[in-house]
Amino acid sequence: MKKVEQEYIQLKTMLASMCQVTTSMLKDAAEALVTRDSALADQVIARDDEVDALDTRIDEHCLKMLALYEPKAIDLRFVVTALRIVVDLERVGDHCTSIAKEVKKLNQSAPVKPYIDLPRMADAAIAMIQDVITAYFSRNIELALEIIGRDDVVDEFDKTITHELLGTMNHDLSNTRNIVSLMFITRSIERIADYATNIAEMIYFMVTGKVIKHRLVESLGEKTHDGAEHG
Amino acid sequence: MTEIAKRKLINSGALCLACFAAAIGLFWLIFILSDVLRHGIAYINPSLFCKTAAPPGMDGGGLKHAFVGQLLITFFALLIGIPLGILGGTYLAEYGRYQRIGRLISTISDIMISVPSIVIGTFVYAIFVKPIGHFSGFAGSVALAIIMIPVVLRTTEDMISLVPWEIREAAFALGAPYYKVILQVVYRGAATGIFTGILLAIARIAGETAPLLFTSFNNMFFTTNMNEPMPSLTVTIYQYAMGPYDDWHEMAWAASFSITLFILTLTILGRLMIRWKYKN
Amino acid sequence: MSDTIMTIKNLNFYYQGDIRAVNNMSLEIRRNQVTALIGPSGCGKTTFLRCFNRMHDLYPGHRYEGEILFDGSNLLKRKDITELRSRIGMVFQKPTPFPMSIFDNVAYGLRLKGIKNRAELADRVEQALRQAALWDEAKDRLKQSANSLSGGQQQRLVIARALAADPDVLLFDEPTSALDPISTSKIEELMVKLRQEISLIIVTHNMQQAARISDRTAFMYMGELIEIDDTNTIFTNPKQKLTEEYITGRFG
Repeated sequence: MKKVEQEYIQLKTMLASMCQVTTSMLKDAAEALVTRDSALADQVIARDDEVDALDTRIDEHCLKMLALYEPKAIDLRFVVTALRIVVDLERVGDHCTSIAKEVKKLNQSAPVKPYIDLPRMADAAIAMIQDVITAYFSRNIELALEIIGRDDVVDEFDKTITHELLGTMNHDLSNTRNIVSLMFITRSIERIADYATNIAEMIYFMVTGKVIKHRLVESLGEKTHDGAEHG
Repeated sequence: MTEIAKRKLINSGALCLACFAAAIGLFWLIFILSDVLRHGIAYINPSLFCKTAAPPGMDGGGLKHAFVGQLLITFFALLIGIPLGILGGTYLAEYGRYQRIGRLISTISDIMISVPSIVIGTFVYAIFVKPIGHFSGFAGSVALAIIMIPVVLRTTEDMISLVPWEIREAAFALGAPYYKVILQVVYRGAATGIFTGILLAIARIAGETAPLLFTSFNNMFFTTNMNEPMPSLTVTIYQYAMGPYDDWHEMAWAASFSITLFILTLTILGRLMIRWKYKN
Repeated sequence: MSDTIMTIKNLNFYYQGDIRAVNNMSLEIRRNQVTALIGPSGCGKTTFLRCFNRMHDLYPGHRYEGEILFDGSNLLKRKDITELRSRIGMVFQKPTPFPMSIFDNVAYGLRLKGIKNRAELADRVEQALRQAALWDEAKDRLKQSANSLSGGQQQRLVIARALAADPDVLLFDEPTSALDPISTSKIEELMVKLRQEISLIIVTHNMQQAARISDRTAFMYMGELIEIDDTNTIFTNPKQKLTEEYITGRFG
């Protein structure tokens, strides 16, 4: 095997690790929220270091690959996309940590209200993150485009839940702190869904070479199929 | 007339002149060759190669003594000329490449190739025949060798120079000493060229008459003693052609034909070898 | 076993007429690594490389100063150059197969060492051709002339020829600059693979090649060593300004 092939494999392995850690942090944070498990929340907070370490390592590795191997075409887009994706994944990790911290605060007092929409919103976001990771490794642009569309669902949840929480706050001034925590959590989940959308856009760029960052999905003409080497 | 038409006219004119000149040259070549062929082939018969000369005036007889003599003289000439020529050329190409003495020897060789062969004959007469007191086959060989050496030397030098310097470096880098580099690598690379040079040198000396006139002289009798005057085909042709007898004339034609055929074959062979080698 | 195979100490080299071409260079060559020498034309990298196998001895008027420690002694002072050149081989820019068969080419170095046994020769020729990734293409044509091979194959033949003598170090003087991209890529792959068995030093004017295949890179300028470091560091964050200017294409 060529030397450069081994470097690509190493990069993909590290990316897979980072995706896996981030996904399980997200799932654990959601579960800690619903089951009110502070120990689980602590675990999530502890894992953030792992994500940061992987972020640094992948950064350095991509820099090395750009300098030494001068990747072109699909390889170049793969490396550049990897650099940007790890930024978003690292922020997803940070948001999971925030959620965990808020969960711990919430667990110090009685539950505010039964959670109905919040777990659904969390599930939607988790699904988006999981699917976007799948789309990345399988270079599936149809899936990526579909994920971009799902952002609207999460935004809807965000609006609904925020509205409801604001309403509750009006009735129940004693629980302000907890309601504010819940609003932070909602906002974090909404941001996580946004990052999933970002990653999906980058997947589209990696596979097709076209930038769709500031355009509506509907305005895209045709979907393209690209067979390519790395990514 | 337009400019183009004028140029085309001049072009055709020049082309015609060139063809005409070539035709003249070719004409004489074909004329001579066909004449020799015509006259010579008629008189080729086995007795030519088997019998030695009959006493003047008597019929029968062949040219065996002349053929054998020519072969012997040429053989010894090669024996002297080839090693000296190759070694000299090797020296010039390997050791003397950038030295002044190397350039000097090379230039002198070039000059010597054009020296009239009779001059060489008289030179060898002065140093080899006069002191000894009599003509000899050896003297003839020496004369032919002197004619041959510059040809072989220059060809060898050129062919060896054609072997790229990088190949020698590669052999050195493997740890080979200089003499092995020359023997095992350079000679192998230049072999075909050097061999062709030798062939052409042989073709050159095969037809020489003048240098033999004062050195090996001639002999009517069959002999293999190189210390005596030796019969040679070329001188014999001269003698027989000028002689009064018809069968002498016939034999002269036949001998001319043989020599021409021999030289022609060698030259064509040499050319073919060059073409084959450089096609690969 | 230490991981340094050669130590160069204060090496100076003068051409005929006392013209200095290598200026007080000191560095280490690590075992089982590819060390690349880069620098602008005329910086002395080829001159430096040719000191290792004493190629300058072929030309009059040269002078070495300093030491190249190899195997416990200064190879600049060694008497037995033939033995040195069988331990330190060289591959040149132009593929130079000898005008002989493929087999004879590879066996040349072996025969020089005095090996005559046919079975042993055949064995070692096969081994060398395998190491050079040429066996499959050559095994049915061992008796054919080496000139029947393509340019890239000829260069691999030259590498096999050098490998047959079982060297410790192989020196490469711009080995792929005369070859097409595919042959170049094959030879680079080969060089990376050979690291397991020998140590390699390559002079190249193609920076990117040095970046692709070497473990350590040395940058030379005007006969001096400016910087030597891990290849990754040289190309992502060199310490000397001159190195950075060269790498980014600001000169040379």
